Amino acid sequence: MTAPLRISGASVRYGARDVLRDASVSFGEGRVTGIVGPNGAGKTTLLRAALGIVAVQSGSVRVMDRDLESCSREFVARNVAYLPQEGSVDWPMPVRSVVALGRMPFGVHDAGGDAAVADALLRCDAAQYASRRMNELSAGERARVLMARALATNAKILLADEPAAHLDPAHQLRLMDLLRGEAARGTAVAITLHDLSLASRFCDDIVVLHDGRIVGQGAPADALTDAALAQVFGIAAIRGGNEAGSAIVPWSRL
Amino acid sequence: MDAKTVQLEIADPSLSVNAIDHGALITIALASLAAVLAIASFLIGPAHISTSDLFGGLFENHGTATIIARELRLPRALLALVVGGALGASGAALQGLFRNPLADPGVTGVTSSAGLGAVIAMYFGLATSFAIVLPACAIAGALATSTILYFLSRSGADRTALILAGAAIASLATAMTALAMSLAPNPYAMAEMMRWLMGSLKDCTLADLLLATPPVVLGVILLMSCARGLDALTLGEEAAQSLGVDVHGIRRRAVIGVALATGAATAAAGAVSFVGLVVPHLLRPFYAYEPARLIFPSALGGAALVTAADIAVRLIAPDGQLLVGVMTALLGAPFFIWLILKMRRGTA
Repeated sequence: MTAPLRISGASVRYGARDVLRDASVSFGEGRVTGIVGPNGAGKTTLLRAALGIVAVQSGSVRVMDRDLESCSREFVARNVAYLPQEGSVDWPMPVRSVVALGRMPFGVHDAGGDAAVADALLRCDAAQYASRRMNELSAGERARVLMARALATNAKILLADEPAAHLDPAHQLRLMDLLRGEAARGTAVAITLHDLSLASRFCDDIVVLHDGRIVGQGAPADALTDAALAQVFGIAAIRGGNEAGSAIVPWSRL
Repeated sequence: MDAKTVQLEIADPSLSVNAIDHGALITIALASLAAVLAIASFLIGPAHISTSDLFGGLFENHGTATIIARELRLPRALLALVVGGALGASGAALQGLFRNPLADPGVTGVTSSAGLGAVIAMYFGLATSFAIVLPACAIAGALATSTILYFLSRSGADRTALILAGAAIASLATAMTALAMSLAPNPYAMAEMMRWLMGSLKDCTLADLLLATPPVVLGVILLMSCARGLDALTLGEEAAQSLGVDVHGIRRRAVIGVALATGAATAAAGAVSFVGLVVPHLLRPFYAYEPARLIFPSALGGAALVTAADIAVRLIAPDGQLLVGVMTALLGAPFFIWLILKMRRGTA
């Protein structure tokens, strides 16, 4: 498996607190990796480290087989798109201008820019309100526009922090379909998730974080075992599903 | 077409296909307006001199007319442009940087701190040996406050906290300015206090203009160099970083640019307030709410507004007793309150 993004033995410390300890993980080409774990487990930090927004104290991050530290800002920005949690836009900018910000890594002479913006809007099913303003959209519509902004870069790696949070069930399913579509185009997709059913059904690989450490990694069925849920989340879950995938419903605290 | 339709079109120009053309047209209109107002400002004053004498006096020696044209009217008209441009651009940049429509060099205390720096330099003899010490101290004062605001915003202070902190800094700087002037070994200090606190272009000289212009131009260029980064910052700091923007570099440049422009403007004209608040806000819809496109037009709009205010004070009170900062505050303070109400309704 080729992995556009590889993190090896990465540790991150904020002050005296270790938020990420010796984490090794690869985000594979054409795969959706789901990063799960309790609040404060280090999920967002793992994404930040992958982007170089926070520096790793030890270990390494390789983007497209190059050491992140030796990469220029533009190189990382063109190859790694990032959708932070709680994304917002401060001014009532037109949707198209917001999505066009995703082309910023390509500078002002960006020949493919307009086409990439239009395509990203289409992929996110947001083209019909391209001329509207951000403040005129519903929360679900805004989330789609912000996703389109991240997709407009056409990066090889897409990182999204809790993209499913605050979305209604239909929008969540739509988002996961969209991410599967991005993976089908060859993108390495990595997202943090709290919804274990979405993680289990739509992700190819699962990374389980607990207290800054990766405690489980692999296919959903292997990583999200009852034992893992008990150890990491302190919960018991009910399982269901059909041939399309399995559902994991948190049921009781242990 | 009735009046209501016209207003709707103006309120939302960027929705049309020709948004960019609109922006360019508005920019040209603002530049023309500033130029026309500057010419009007040059022609207005307590001394009754004909237009032809004034223009003639600029280029050849016409005795009194030349002295008035070259030493008084021209510096005053040009300084209004420079001061307004500095404040307009600083306001647009601060609003983009702090992602806050209430940010403005006056409201956030940057102007008052620059005024304090200038007053200390002037009344304690620091500026007597080297004229450049005056703008340097004002820029230092502005830099101190913009740096404090920068660290506050970095440590997660929200919009309201930032503005309240700015208001506190502004009050403190104003009080210290009053204190400094009370203690100053200068019999005219108290009389001149109002000029520093409110801002005035009266009695500005060619030397003031020459001292103020280079830092203002440098500051505005620095601010314009941040433009694309400010656009990315509308998505939040992390998203901007992920787009390859050097967020810390942008912030540093913006803080220094604001300090240079506002500091030098304040050293020349005192604390003219609210220009940086009103102008970017009025212009924003014409530039699709994009911070990057707003900086230069805000400089032009600020230049036009200060020049217009400076004309108004001379028309209202030809004896020169009305200060230009009084005009901008009369206009700006109600605007500020209106803006807060609008923000509470979530429409700003």
